[in-house]
Amino acid sequence: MANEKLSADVVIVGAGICGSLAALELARAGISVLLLDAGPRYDRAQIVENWRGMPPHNKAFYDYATPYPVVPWAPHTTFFPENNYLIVKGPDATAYKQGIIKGVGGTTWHWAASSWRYLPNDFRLKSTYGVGRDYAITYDDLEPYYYAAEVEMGVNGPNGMDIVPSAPRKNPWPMDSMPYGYGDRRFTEIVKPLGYDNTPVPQGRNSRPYDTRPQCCGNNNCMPICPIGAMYHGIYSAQKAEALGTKIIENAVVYSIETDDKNRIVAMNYYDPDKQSHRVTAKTFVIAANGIETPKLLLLAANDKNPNGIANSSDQVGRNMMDHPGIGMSFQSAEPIWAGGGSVQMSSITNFRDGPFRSEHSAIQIGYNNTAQNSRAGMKALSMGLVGKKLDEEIRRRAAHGVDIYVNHETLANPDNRLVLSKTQKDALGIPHPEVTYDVGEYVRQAAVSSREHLMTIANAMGGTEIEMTPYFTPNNHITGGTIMGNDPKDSVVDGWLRAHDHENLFLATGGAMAAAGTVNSTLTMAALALRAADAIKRDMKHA
Amino acid sequence: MSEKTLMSRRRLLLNSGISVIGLSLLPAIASPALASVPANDALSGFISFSRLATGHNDLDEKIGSQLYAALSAKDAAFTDNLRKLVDMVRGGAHADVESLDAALTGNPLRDTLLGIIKAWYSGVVEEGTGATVYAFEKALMYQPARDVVVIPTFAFNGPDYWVAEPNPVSQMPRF
Repeated sequence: MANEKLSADVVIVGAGICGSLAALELARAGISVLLLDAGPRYDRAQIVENWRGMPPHNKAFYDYATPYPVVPWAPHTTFFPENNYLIVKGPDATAYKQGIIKGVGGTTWHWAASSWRYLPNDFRLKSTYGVGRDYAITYDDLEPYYYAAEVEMGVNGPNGMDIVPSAPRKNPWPMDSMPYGYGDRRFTEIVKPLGYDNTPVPQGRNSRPYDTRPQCCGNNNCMPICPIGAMYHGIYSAQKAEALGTKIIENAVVYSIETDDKNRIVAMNYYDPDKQSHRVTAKTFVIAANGIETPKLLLLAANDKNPNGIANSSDQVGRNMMDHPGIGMSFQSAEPIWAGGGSVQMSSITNFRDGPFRSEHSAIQIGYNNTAQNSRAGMKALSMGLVGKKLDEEIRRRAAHGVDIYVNHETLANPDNRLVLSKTQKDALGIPHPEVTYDVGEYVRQAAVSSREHLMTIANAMGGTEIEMTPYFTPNNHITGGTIMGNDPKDSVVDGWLRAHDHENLFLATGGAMAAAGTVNSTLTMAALALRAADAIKRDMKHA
Repeated sequence: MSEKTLMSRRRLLLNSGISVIGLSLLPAIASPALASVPANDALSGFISFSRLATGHNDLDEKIGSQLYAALSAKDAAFTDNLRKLVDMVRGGAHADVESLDAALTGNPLRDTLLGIIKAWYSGVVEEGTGATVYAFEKALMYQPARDVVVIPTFAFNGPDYWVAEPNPVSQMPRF
């Protein structure tokens, strides 16, 4: 490795969905790419076995991290037990305990594959409703890239259904939605008379064989690992890029960035697991290390010419940290619902994604969680001290009647919600841990009052007993805002092409660019933005 | 915890099995309890008692062997308590676990009984996140709903199986 020349047209830091899609797009254009990731490569079969071998306590409480072994040179968050890699502070610290995976393929190894487009108004929140911020681009600017991402990932969606509100489309989804299981079917029927439209979630999951991957077989383990690869993961795009000549280096932890007189990026340096340093050079650099690690690296890599951090002349790097603060509810329904048929996230209530109320409080998404209840049912029944037939009957009853629902809230960009480098905690390489201070704000708190009423209305309509609702806000791993997009270099980090205002040849292809969080999962939007950034890079290369 | 330790803790052992893959996980360093193979009669006594304790005859003996070793290692009094329980059911004194459980009201031996049941149902003998897993898909708690709800990571019979109407809750599958 030491003698190998580490250089390419484009160096991409982070082999998650954004970095891998950008690498693939560039590789297809004949551009040489070096794709680095701080974490290891994973073997799907081993991760599946790691999950199967995980204690039932972890399974019952939705532990998505433990199957992915933490490596000391690239720690990611674990919560069973909590490893405090991500330090969270502030009034809503609970709501920023994000789950991220480091390694080739990134956090889409354990996502639910919900692949929504944002609504046109999500891109112009400030100009339409007078709150939050506008993107530097419109929905129409992103529409072709949304479609390109949907095709590459393999997204199924409710073709032919008229769902209001919906993002306008020029092409149908590449695949039709998967059919609901009994739980989603009954939930939809029960909430309909209450005025809630429960509709199919667009999913990055095969509803038919697609792109050499199999059709979903309903293994119901999307999070934390699809055992058969019917669900899209960033690893597929990374592997395709690799087949086209992209060089992938795993276990490469970038820690410093060199700039020249024009503040162009000249080189980056990474540590290998033995803390040997390696230097990589390129014409153009992309950081696609997710919404937490990207601002962390930019701050860490501060140099003489950029004393507040790379790309940070605006002081906005690490600010405006957003997500979708959630409220979770679980209960036993009066009738059997039988969660667990199909994928873990099939449908949701989207009536409240947009409307004039957004000038006052958050838009929301209400969802039915279709995760099988059998682990939770078993552990609960055992804790009751039952034996024999009563034990079996109680397990079956709880597996049939257990219901999980949730509300996710839109948050506004707030510069005080800020990621900094920890002054006290460092990892094995001596790199500071990220530290986030988080307050969901009045905009969310006001919405949460009615959100709790929505949840209670639904629980009551289902004859719910043993109703439990989280008294705090929960995280949703939809990490946005930390390298925020805008037209003004004084108050934003990147432009509408994700190009850093401060560095002509640096792109930050992550959800951190998203200027408003909307209500729905952020992944498809960040994927589309990454493809758009790749387009800008291709254009640069052509004109170079 | 280092990757190496974690991975070796999760080292996989494949049990023989025809229709399903059996798996178990052993600690990186075999504990004395796991190293010592239980005497055949003690183990068969445990399995035999477990059939009554769980109400299910189709118990995997390899899993049983590991559970017996783990329960013995966890509690020095386990083998004595098990012997007392076996004595209680000798000669058909209790036809089923319900009868035995009722007879154990207020008796500390009930904890041993529930511990055995919990081991077979949950596949672990310890609480919480550090537990060693001896059984997953053969853990009995996944069986009462297995006709409708998949054991996660496994599948029934291919795509779209889930559109079928579920069986009644009252219709307990045989296992």
